[in-house]
Amino acid sequence: MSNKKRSVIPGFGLSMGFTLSYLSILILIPLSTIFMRTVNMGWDSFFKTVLNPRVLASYQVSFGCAFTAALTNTIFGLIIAWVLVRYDFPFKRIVDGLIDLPFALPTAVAGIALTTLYAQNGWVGKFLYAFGIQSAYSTTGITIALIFIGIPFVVRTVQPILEELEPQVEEAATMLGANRNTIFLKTILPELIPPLLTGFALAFARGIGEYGSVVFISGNMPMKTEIAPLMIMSKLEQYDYAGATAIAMVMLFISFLMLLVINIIQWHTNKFLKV
Amino acid sequence: MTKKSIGTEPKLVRWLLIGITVIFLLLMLCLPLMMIFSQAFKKGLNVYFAAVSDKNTLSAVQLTLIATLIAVLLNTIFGLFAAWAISKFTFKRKNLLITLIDLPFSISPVIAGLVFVLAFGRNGVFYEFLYAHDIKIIFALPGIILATIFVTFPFVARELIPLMQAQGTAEEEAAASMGANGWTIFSKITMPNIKWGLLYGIILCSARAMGEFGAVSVVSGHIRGKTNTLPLQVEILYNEYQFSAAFAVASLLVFIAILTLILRNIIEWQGKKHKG
Amino acid sequence: MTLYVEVKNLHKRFGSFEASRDVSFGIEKGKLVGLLGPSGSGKTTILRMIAGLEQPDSGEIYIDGKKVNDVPPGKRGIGFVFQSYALFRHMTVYENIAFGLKVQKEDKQKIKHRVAEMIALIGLDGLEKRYPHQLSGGQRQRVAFARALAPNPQLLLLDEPFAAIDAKVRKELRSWLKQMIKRLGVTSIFVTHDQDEAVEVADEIIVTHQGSLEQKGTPVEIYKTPKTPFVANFIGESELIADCAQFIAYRNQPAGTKAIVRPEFLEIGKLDEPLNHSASDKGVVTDIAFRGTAWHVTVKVGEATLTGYRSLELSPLSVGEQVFVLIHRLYLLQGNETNIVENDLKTDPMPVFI
Ligand SMILES: Nc1ncnc2c1ncn2[C@@H]1O[C@H](COP(=O)(O)OP(=O)(O)OP(=O)(O)O)[C@@H](O)[C@H]1O
Ligand SMILES: [Mg+2]
Repeated sequence: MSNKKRSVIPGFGLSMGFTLSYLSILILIPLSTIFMRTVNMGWDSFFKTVLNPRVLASYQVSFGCAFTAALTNTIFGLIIAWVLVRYDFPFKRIVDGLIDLPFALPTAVAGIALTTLYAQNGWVGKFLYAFGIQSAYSTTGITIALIFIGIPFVVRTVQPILEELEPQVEEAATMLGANRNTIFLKTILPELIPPLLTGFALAFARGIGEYGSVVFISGNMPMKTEIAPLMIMSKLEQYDYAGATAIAMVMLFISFLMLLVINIIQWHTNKFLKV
Repeated sequence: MTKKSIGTEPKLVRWLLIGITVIFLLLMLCLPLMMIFSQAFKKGLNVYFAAVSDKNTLSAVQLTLIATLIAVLLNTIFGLFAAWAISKFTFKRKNLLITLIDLPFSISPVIAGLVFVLAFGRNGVFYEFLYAHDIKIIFALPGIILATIFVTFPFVARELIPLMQAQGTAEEEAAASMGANGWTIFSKITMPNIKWGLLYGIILCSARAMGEFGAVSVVSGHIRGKTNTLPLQVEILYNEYQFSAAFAVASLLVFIAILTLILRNIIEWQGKKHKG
Repeated sequence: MTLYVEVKNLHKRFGSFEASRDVSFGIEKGKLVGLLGPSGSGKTTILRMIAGLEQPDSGEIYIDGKKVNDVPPGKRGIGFVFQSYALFRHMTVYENIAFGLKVQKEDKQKIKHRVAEMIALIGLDGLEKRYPHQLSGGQRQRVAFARALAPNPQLLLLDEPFAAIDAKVRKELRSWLKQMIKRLGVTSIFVTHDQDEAVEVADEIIVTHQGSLEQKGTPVEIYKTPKTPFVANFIGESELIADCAQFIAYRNQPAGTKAIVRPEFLEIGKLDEPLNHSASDKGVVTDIAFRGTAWHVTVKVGEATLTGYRSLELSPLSVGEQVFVLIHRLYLLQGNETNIVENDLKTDPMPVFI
């Protein structure tokens, strides 16, 4: 303890104390109630709730749609980030600014807008339904909403890394006789995999928990388009706090797992970034 | 700006990728935005203004503003303290602390609401105590504020930490060695360096606070004219098939979102200009 | 001797800025050439145009007699070493060096053999499996060098290969690189803005200034017979004299003729020392500094301030002391040229004024 270097800047005790208290009182202690409740309710009733077919189906919907959406976003996010960093085209700045819309737009507003847009008589839904794609009140609709929510996560994680890539590395590969494809696959893509994974994990975590933008477009049909957060909601409406807690516990577990994954990726890349 | 095309893709590929980007963003981002305004004004300006100036809407606006103000204020204070501790000092488990601050980003807003119901709601840990003293938290303003704080918790801190870390500690140390006290160092040295980032953090935090739906939905109890925030008001109107009114109220929130984006760009631009 | 690399009338603009103006030169096979010039003088631009990383607006580039303007960079048979190494940081040392051979679809066994050879050459045996972030700056530089050489290029281009390395390692690496290049016999061009480095390493130096080629020649030529005022001033230590006619030995020059003088052109002696007084000017010592191997003496002669060396063996001067200053020779600046003039009085065996 005593070998700790004392900083000349004042305020460590105060700022650290405030940070930890605030964090504990508003986030950690409230969150821990979920663990405590789960422990108190016993494994039997925990598994009974969690393994209930309707709840299982909701997990499947949430995880499945979040996965598809995150995957879609990973691909399109890469393309968008690439285009924004490497190419010039008219209105680029506006396009760049628009990416953050899902961060700033309230989820409920996004939800009703997407529902109206992709419903059978909506501007886009019209065409999709004509091709036999049911774009609202289906898992497709949920996925669409989650793509909307998740796209900035991927773009904003990949973009800065892409900006900082040294052009010389690509030139070095060019000088060694590599063609464009090889350069992308062998020298650029490996650098982008960590941010792509991080972006994927962020979008996936957000997608699992997303509520506002999804409830409107999902249609909430039991066993089909009910998402896990909605199950918590309906348990709460029936004052089934234990049930809500059990479902939340599983989701929290996944969230923590995602956080762990993200941190491992960060830690791993930081090692290589030193060059 | 005519860069020679060494080290870039063929023109065809370039325009294909730009095309994909534009179409994707058009479908996913632009159209929903246009849809909101088109629906909001579908039945004319009168209906729009009637919906916006409806008694319940106005009380929702009021509630939203109060909750936002308090939540953003507290989170800003927290953000400043946390960023100060994290960026100006070295200590163990710093990364863990940063991860914990980020935690609300990856937790479902519904769970954010749920934790407060579990703590303060019926058969909650503190229920007996609250009931005895006639304090209402759940289905009342305090619950809404708590839930809002939870979800928008990381925004200011997240904006400031990387900024202040990049700035390092040299200037503060110099000031401290000349005998400046903590407040002087902060207000005279640190603040000018971070003001744009702080402003953006506050704006983004406000936008998110006003728009929060899931968490607030759990704790509010949806009491019209009393515990309805703007997004909840949108939901109610929508579920009652008053689409034009729902979109009209929604458009208020969209204005704020667009304002946030514009400010973000201005601030980013300002920040770049000031840097060099 | 045949020219291995030849560039003719290269022009390159970035927007309205002329980074290269009418650059022409030729390089013989096996030569190690230094591109020397101040920052922004267009050295990198020339190198990148030869490599094909930049297209000249006009002019031709020949390598081994073939015009290569339209040959893609990877097919010009050039190895390029970048200033910041530009190693592939997620590849091991082995993979970095093997990269060029792999993309050329060389036989596996051959790749293995060649990489082993290169690793032995750069003296990094045992470090094949390391990643760039696990290497020191000097080691990274060597890997970059091996990576460029692995495909057996006939021309090696190096852009400030030592810029990112600290001074001590730099000297070592410098002579190592020179030896290596000489041993392999590969024609090489390296960019530098450090004249010591250029003089020490290069067979020939090309001096650039504001996008133009000022002079090309051996280090000794560049030093002894600078062709332009810029080169005279840029190479070695030098001082500009506004009017050289004020000195007794150069009184015949038209008044106002500018000239450049180097410290080693001066001899500074006490009034009672046996110096050719009739060929010298009188001056006053204004500053003396000890520089390890000699005194650096600053003297004021009339309006001009000159600096010269004085051996530590001689009795030391003091500030304010009157001295004789003998200017052995000067570079006269005449328009765009420089011409050497020798002190003609000192050759006179019988000084007139006794
Ligand atoms: N891609 C480019 N776009 C615009 N200007 C450029 C570009 N590349 C080089 N220049 C300009 O051309 C001039 C010559 O640049 P170059 O890099 O060749 O100089 P240099 O002699 O290598 O300098 P240094 O020693 O600093 O590396 C500089 O003024 C530079 O600003
Ligand atoms: Mg250069």
